[in-house]
Amino acid sequence: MSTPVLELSGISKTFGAVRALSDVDFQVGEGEVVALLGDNGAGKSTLVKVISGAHPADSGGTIRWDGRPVSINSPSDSQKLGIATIYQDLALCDNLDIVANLFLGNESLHFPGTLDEVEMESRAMELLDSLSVRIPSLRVPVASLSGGQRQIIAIARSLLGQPRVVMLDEPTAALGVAQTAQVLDLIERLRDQGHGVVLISHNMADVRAVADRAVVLRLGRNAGDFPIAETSYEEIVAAITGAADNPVSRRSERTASPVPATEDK
Amino acid sequence: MTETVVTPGSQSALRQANERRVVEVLRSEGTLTQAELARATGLSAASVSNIVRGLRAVGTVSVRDTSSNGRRARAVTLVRSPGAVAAVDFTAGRVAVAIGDSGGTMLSREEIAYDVAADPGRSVRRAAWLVETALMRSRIDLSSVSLVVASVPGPVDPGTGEVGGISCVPRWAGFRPAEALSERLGVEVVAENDANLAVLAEQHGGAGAGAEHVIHLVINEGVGAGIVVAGQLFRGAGGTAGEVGHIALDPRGQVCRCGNRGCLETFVGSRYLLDMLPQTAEIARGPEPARIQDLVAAARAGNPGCRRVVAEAGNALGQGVAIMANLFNPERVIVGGPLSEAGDLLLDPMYRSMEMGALGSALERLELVPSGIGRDASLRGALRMAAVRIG
Repeated sequence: MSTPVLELSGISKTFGAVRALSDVDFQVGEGEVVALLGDNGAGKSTLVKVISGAHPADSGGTIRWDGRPVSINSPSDSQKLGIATIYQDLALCDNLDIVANLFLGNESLHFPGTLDEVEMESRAMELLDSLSVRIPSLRVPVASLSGGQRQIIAIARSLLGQPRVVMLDEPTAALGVAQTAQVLDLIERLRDQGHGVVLISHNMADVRAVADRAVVLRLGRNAGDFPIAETSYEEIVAAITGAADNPVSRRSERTASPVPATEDK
Repeated sequence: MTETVVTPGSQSALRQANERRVVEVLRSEGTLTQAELARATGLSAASVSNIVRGLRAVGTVSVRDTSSNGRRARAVTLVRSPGAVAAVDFTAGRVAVAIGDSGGTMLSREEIAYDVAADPGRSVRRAAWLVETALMRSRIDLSSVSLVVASVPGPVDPGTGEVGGISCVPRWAGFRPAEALSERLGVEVVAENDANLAVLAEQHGGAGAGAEHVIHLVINEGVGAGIVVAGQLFRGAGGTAGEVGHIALDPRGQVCRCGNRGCLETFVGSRYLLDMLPQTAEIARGPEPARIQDLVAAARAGNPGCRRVVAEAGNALGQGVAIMANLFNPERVIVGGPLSEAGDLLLDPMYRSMEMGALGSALERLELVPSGIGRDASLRGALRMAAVRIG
């Protein structure tokens, strides 16, 4: 494989006495969708925050971008490298229209300081077209859009900064079937355009539908890195729950009659 | 549940409605204690107890003793016939999935818009996702699904499972959807042509009920036919039986995608019809591209140009069906697909041209009817086929 765009190795993070991440490795390449899986408290969000610069990692680990070591100490470092993060709450302004939301804080201006609405609208249209997103009018307030459309607008906004890695935190939670399908379409299109995508999700069906690899965290450590095409649903769930590595299964390996591992679904 | 005729508003109607509520809650929640059932339905504990006793007597639910918070409780579970089946319907612009019980009754249905024609591999991946999602929503485990039947908008070779070369999804040529879907889901999958499945659905509870010899035309981008002869689906040696869209009608007509000229499809396929729309018609100038549904609505509203387009399509269909009527002498010819919504505007000219092209005796016992099921015909047929195969 060619050099991954983003590569983390030996990353640890402690909050006081709590060791949230210990010695975690993670990488994502160009045009690759990597799912980040794990139970609650496994360290998924902490890892995302390390990558996005919200919580700098403890010293000791290395972060490489295109193979060269970098340090991410603040969200702006991460943004400058070309990492975009879309959190669950989307951070959209409900009362503003789609164009205003897309360019919020990044408006194009005419020289004296008035907004260049025409320029922004045409760029917004271009952007949404490139993602094959169909929205009847770009001038409706975001509050009137469906959950799926809001998610798509939030993702589209992050693409204006030309990122190479896009991180999505639970993008399909609380969406209906048709809307989830739209978001999955968008993730596929991001991959086709060569973005690296990090997808955090609890929904195994969604992960299996779009991801190329699944990285599993358990209690702040790496618990496996699986190519989706060759891995069964059960293997991944076992890694998430630790079914393959607990006192019961260890004992069953020692005794003659194996106890079937229980899994929750 | 008891199915007796009751007067609305009567005591027994109320009881039946309450029974139904209990069953609905059990269907969505799985196993519940009687107390939980009472809370979920809003019925009194006494009436829940009565209803459960009745349902248990007819075998709809099973009851077992358990305990809840240290008290004795009775856990009620819906008796499901073991095993479920799933159906997947690929059409050019969407993927639909239905989950059915082992008798082929539809339990749930999900549909998404997807460009199926673009890439067969991805379509299958997305369809597998939709099956998993639909199962999750109806709380059925994938492992209890014994068979999946996939409906494909093109001919499928019954031996190899390969999709034929000439269809409205040309990139699927040579692709084996059943194999690919089975690999993703880990369940046995059978692929079948959409018109063949639609005719199965129409035979059981649709416009084809009670008929031995049926031809079901499905008109979309192209025209396919499901042919039932003596109660059996007729597929032909390589699965291309019923590709009636490529009956050559006019040696000087337009060149068809199959390479011949003047095929039936060039007279009734949706693209050809929409190209014929009169430019003065309002639907031809809308912001969105017109669909067959719009054409049918305009024809029904009396737009003369649109009526003409529909009538000519009916005329061409009649010519094609006349040939089939001479060959097969069917009892019933069913017309399905969005164009069939035009009803008599389509069927009248169609029947007239059948009269001119077929033997009088071939039409004597022939009924020409619109589809009784509509757009879910292939999906329901797929459930039906799955249920028959496992049962």
